[in-house]
Amino acid sequence: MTNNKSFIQVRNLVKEYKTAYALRGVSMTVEKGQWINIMGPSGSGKSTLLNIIGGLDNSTSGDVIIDSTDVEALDEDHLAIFRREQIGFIFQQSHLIPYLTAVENVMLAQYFHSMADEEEAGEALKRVGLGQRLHHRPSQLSGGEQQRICIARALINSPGILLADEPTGNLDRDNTEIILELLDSIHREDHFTIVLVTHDPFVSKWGDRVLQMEDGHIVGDEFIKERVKGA
Amino acid sequence: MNNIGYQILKLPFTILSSRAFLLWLAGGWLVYYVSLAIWMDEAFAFFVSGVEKTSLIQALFILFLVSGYLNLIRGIKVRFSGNKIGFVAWLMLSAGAMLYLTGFFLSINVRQFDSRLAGEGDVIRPSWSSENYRVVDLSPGIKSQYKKSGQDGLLDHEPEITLIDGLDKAYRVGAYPPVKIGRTYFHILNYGIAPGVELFENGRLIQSGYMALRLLPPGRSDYFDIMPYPYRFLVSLAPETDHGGTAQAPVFNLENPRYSTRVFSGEKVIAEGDSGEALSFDRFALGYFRHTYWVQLEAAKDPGIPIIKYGIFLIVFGMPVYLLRLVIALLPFRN
Amino acid sequence: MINSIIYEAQLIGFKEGIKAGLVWLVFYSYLLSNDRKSLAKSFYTGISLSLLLGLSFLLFPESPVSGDFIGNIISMSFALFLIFSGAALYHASGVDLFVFRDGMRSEFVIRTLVFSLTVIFFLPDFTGSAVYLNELAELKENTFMTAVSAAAGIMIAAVIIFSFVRLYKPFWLGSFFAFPQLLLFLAMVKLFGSGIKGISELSLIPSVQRGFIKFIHDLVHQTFVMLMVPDHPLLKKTTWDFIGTFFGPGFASIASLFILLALPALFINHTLFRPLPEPPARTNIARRKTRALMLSDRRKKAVPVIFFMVFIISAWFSYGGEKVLQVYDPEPRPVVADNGVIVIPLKDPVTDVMDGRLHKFSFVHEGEEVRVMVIKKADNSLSVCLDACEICPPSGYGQRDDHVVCLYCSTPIPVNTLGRAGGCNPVPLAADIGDGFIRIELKEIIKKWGFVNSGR
Ligand SMILES: Nc1ncnc2c1ncn2[C@@H]1O[C@H](COP(=O)(O)OP(=O)(O)OP(=O)(O)O)[C@@H](O)[C@H]1O
Ligand SMILES: [Mg+2]
Repeated sequence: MTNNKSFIQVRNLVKEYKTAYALRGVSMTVEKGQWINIMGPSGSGKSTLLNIIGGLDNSTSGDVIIDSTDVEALDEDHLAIFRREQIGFIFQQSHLIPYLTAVENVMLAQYFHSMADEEEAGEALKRVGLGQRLHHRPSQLSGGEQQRICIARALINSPGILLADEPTGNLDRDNTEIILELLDSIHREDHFTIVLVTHDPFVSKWGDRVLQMEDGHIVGDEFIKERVKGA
Repeated sequence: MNNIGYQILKLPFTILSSRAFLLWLAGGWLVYYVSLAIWMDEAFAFFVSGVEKTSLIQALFILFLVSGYLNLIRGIKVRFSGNKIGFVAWLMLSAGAMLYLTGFFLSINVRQFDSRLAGEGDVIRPSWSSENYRVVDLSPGIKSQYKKSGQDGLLDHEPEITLIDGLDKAYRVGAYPPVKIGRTYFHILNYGIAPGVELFENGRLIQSGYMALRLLPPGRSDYFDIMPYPYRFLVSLAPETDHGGTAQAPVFNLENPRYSTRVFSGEKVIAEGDSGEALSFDRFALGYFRHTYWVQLEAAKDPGIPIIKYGIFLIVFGMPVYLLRLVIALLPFRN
Repeated sequence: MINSIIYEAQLIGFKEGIKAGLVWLVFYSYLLSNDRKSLAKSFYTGISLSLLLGLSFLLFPESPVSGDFIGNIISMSFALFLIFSGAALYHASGVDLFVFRDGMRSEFVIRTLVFSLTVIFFLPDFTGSAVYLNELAELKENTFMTAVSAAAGIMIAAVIIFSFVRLYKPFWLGSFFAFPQLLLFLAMVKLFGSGIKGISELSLIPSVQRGFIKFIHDLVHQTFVMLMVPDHPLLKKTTWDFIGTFFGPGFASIASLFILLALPALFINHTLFRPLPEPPARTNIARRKTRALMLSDRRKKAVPVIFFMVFIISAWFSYGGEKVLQVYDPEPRPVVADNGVIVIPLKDPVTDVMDGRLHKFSFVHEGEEVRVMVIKKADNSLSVCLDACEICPPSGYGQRDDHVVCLYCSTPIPVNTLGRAGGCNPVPLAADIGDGFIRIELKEIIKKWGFVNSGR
């Protein structure tokens, strides 16, 4: 393996539940700055893989090495530090705090990382096109706008990796396109690594590479030559 | 003027006006005083007498004052542009402290003071003054009747006198605050009754005058001698009711006081009696006539007094402003 | 009786052990978190030397130095730590006080500093406790048992500290301490645990409070003299009551708290409320991270200081209220004159005037109560005075430890200076003391009582 280039290394990852296997020996590497999409049918283990990479879940066996850190060997405290420094999450459900405003939701992520800085949080929201919505609550915003707050929130502490699990699953075509275009433009500027899970072929038109999963195995790995240009 | 020479000239000022120097000096005083307090009983008295008499202590005190004032000036330059309330509070407190210390030093070292008994009509002149003052009116404020068991004291009002200077200008002088006349402060330190006393020899009046005695509060006794006669007269006020020592709460008439007198010749009492009748002994007789009052006047010439007063004033009013400023500074606190 | 002595010896050993253990724990944690573990050696050398020297005093039943002397040395070392911690806190609040910092960096200087501070800290306390143990041993007439009980006390403390450290590994404590906090902690341990008067005074607080109260009182008095505020018989009672509050122990107590808390408060104000300095950082996130670290460090370092303030305030009021500010005012015992002489026995079944407490005697003369007070001085001589001075109304005096205090104007007067005449001093009486009795001429008392009994 090209150790110096592989930023994320997954080796023989197995996840076993009492009733079933979710992952049956998954191996893959991701280079720094790469945008990789993981596709596959429901129940194929995509979310499980993503959660183990992000340190939200433990594997039954196998290794996850990120930037030469063995994530599963970290103790509770260091895992927490690792997560808040290195990883940003976006989920299908936005998980925004309903009684905080947009900017406060972003500041909360700053606070858990180090300390809140309202100005910086406002800048981040401007960058995702919500400069006029800083003091709105999530309930006053559309689903697409909420997901844009989530992007700002996930990226506010400059993580090395953005993990996204069906970020557009609840959105219509137009909003999906807006979100992905936004992610693409930020990614081009900041060069972080993206691992995005989706079952929507339309989504996988963005990014550098597509992994196909089925029943806990990787069954396909394909680089996208022509990246989709913004409409 | 060359630059290095100027720097060297400036150096002592730079050191003296530095906060670190001032604080080291203050720390030194602290250690000195704490050591005194630990090792001796009357540390403060020792400290004060050091400030009065020991040249090393005086020199260090002056150094401290100079450094304090230079720091004050430097601080004013530095802080003036900052927060206005904070600046005022800081200025009041530090200037107040400096004034207090300056006054303290002056008062201990240059105060001249004098104290004497005076009655109505007396002329007084402090030793440093060329001006004579006459006591023209004396209002002792004493009650006309005093009941021994009473809790309310002897005084109707605080005693007061009127002094007039050479230009017939009048000044009312009481116990406090001291009154400044010219460059001298006057106030009353003590007061009392001065019985009029007459001494007869073989029925002929040979001496008479007022005796300033400390007979108040009633029960207290004092004595006087009449030179050149070898007698001593021990006097106290006699109660109205004539029960001697047995009365539970004797009542004294202070308007027309009665005196009980014992006449000593050496250690021996040769006569004893009340002022109702004349007291005879050997070939002499003692009588009383209407009393007057005396006050003990204290006079001081001390440039430190107003300085201390302003210092305390600034500290007392600066402190709340300072604390208020802290509260205000905390109010918009975030993070 | 004997059991209580063993118990007291054990308690004293326990106290010294806990003190040493706590200081070790905090100092060691401090060294760990600053990566200076090697300095612990100087500390161990210092504490061993202090222990040896201190214990060697147990070999001299007649201590070469008096308990009072050692008490003064302890007070000095407490004052030193307190003043230096104050200076260091002030320094940490943004005023550069340490001029010799480059010299301080030399390893040798640091080692010597740690060693000497350790000795200055522990030697007086160990010696003081040893001298007190000697006194106990003398009472019990068994030096060996006393020493063994004290050693047992030390062992119990050691076991407690040791198991605590093994169980909880509380070395994270180190992150709460920088140099000023360390000094402050040491001063605090001294303040709360350096008394050497046995169970009756395990801490220094009462004597520190007395010192402060005396200072404030003297300062107020001096100021009043300078401002020509007259002696109170002249002023209306209400005015005097107002002025009197500035003489009272309440005012002095609050004022001394103010003095004690000024520098810690300044430090807290600085740490918690001043804006952070701008850290040099390339990205916004790095800047935010450094600032967060600085902020949490600041807050941690404020914790010991806040602890100190809380401890001091509560100790000041709980202790002060009961022990220090309370004045012992005994009922006078009636006596009668015999042939023109008042005779007071030095010792009878009820009282022993040599016991160091204030004793008052009274008789009635011409319908008026006349009071005499008697108290033993440090040099074992007796002081016999009227229970009144020339200035105040005859409210008399009470006792507050080694001072008598005017019950009217709160002026404290050291017992050892009794016998001086004038001012606020009790009026001394000529007395004949011998073969078990104090004899005072009635004439002497009456004459002087007449002079002092001034009124409002
Ligand atoms: N906590 C659990 N206990 C038991 N089985 C689980 C648990 N979580 C997931 N599984 C099982 O593991 C397999 C993989 O689940 P996973 O959530 O990773 O699928 P997915 O690919 O993300 O599907 P989807 O597209 O529907 O989100 C599934 O069969 C699922 O039922
Ligand atoms: Mg899923």
